[in-house]
Amino acid sequence: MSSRSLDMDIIDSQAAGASTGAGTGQLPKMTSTRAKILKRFLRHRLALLGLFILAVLYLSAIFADFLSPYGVSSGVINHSHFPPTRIHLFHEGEFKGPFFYHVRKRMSFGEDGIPSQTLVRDRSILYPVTFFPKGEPYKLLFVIPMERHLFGAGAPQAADGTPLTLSSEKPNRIYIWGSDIQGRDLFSRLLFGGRISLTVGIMAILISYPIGLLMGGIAGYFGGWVDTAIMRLVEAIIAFPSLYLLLTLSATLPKGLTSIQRYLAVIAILSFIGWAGQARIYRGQVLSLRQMEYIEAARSVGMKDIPIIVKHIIPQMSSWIIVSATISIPAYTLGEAALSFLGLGIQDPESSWGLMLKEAQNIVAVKQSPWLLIPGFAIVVTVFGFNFFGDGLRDAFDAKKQV
Amino acid sequence: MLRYVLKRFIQMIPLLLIISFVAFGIIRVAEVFANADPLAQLAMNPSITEETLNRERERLALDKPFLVRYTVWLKNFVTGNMGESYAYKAPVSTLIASRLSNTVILGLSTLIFTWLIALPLGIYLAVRQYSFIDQFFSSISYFFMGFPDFFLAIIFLLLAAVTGWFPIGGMTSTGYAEMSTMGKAINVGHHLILPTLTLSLISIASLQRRMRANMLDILGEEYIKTARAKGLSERKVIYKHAVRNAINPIITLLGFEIAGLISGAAFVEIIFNWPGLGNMMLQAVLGTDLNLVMAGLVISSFMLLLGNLIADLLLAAVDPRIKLEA
Repeated sequence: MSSRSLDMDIIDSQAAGASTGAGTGQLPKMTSTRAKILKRFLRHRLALLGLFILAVLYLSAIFADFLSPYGVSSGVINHSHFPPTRIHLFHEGEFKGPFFYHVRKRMSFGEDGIPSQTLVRDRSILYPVTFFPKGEPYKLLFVIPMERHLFGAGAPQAADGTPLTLSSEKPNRIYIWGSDIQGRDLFSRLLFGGRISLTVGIMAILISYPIGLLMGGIAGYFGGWVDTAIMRLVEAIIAFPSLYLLLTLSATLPKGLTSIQRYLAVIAILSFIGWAGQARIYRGQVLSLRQMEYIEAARSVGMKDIPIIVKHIIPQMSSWIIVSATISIPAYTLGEAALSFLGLGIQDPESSWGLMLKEAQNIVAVKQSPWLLIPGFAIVVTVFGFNFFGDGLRDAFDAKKQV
Repeated sequence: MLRYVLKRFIQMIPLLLIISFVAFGIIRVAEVFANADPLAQLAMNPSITEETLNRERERLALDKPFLVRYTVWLKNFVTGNMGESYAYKAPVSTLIASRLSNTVILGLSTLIFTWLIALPLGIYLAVRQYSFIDQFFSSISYFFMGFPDFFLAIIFLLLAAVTGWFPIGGMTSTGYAEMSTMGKAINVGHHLILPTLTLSLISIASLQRRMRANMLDILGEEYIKTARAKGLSERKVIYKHAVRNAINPIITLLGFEIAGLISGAAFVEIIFNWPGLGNMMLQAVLGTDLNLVMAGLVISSFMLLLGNLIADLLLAAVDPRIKLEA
């Protein structure tokens, strides 16, 4: 996108007015407000980093089924807590291309009777890492039917390349970030989990913001008993400690929900909690805007109340809305993670980062298999991505800060 | 002052009514949608007869319309009867009292630790603005402010498991009952370290930033220049003039932090298996212990409101310009 074309179609009224006043033809340095905002944003290094992080995360979620070697629920019973696969290039000094050795799991019992597993690497069995192999069928972008994945593990072979058939055990799979307790590939589940964890926040904002804006707008604009009624309800919801409310609301979910219903229910719960805070802030803003002359002007030409709210008040606050929405997305993301982590949100076999991290509650398991913490880092990275991006947006929109 | 407090308590009543009504409504939705039976835990108990069940059903007016049930509940609640937790087989009020005190212990230790570290740190960094150490701490703060509390808790718990320096969750060790009073205190204190550290690191980050910002504002004031021009030592300028003024707005935060700790601590309690209110709430929800859920919601909200009131009182106490009007 060239900045020139952007300049042309979004010159806002202020800049346009100034240029006509200055006379036609000569436009010395005509930059629209929005172009300035864009410029300020692009100068904000952390914001760009945030944007980059978010782009990587969302792209990986969109193309999850192509990037992941296995499906979200495909597990091998004996492969629980396999460590990240070690990829080699050389076998006994000879270049083989990327491959990995066969790993066998042995259960043993320590002196205290606690079972522990040791992994034995069998250097006589090799698996080449293959690119674009055929795997579980899926629909790319939910439309194009495909079978090929970015990478995967080839069939077992001996060091000289002759194919092997394993007699008593299942062939290894490639687990670049290890496997979970059910022998499912953590990397694949993380990508699929991103589809839920990364969208819950945005969906919840899309629901809670309009409700909060409308309720806050109505309360601030009309005042009187409408204001009192709405604000008392808002105060009551805010007065609940959020996690307590989250827990209680999750008790309202019926047992036999399908995974998509559950996903929507989690969003509904988060929105139910989220709209109140928004309504309160927005009401305050409307109270001050209501006094403005242009609102009075609109009223004097006979405009109705709701159209005034929708057409004049909300647009006036659009930049504030965008910024505050971006900044509040992480809270919703964490809300979903919290619910799923406690076993009250997204359920197996679906995947979400909070649900995956649930396994890390078992400290003995994490101690042996530290890769179980990876979903937690995914959450952290997402939160920081949004924080960086949101801070950058806020600074970019806040012209005062530049002067 | 007393009149003001009284007035605030009276103002709380309608809000608490709305809160309890909303909470009751949510529980009702759970009953209808999720088939949550308020007596499920009781019915599972083999020693409970059908007769007792029916009596309990009658007492809670379960077959009556919603509003009747709410008034019955309210009447009971106001008279101190919060019902019984069927899962714990104990009155809800005693359960909540013991759990609440555990939450308060964790909250207080966090509060003290946070303030002891954050205020001096904020002052120090403001005095050394833009120095290396200032920038170092501001990036660390930014990091911890965004860091999810439950993940930090898991990492600390893992640290405990790997090093063996700290107990892995819980509030007391086995054999706690036989310990001396001193030994008991030390034991609980040992269990308290990691949950406190988890909660503190996040709140130190934000409190320290605020203290620093306030100090910087004050240090730019005319009267600080005057004080310096008078030839006062830098020490006096900072500690006698600047800090005292910068600390006022922070004091209000204390009340909000008391409130925030109740809800913020819940997750950390759950992960560290700290027997607090938040942990109890999770067990209550998982076990459809609806009496407990209901009382937990109302009591914790009341604590939040109380925290806000304390914030206002504290501000009035430290700032003579603010008068509480009854």
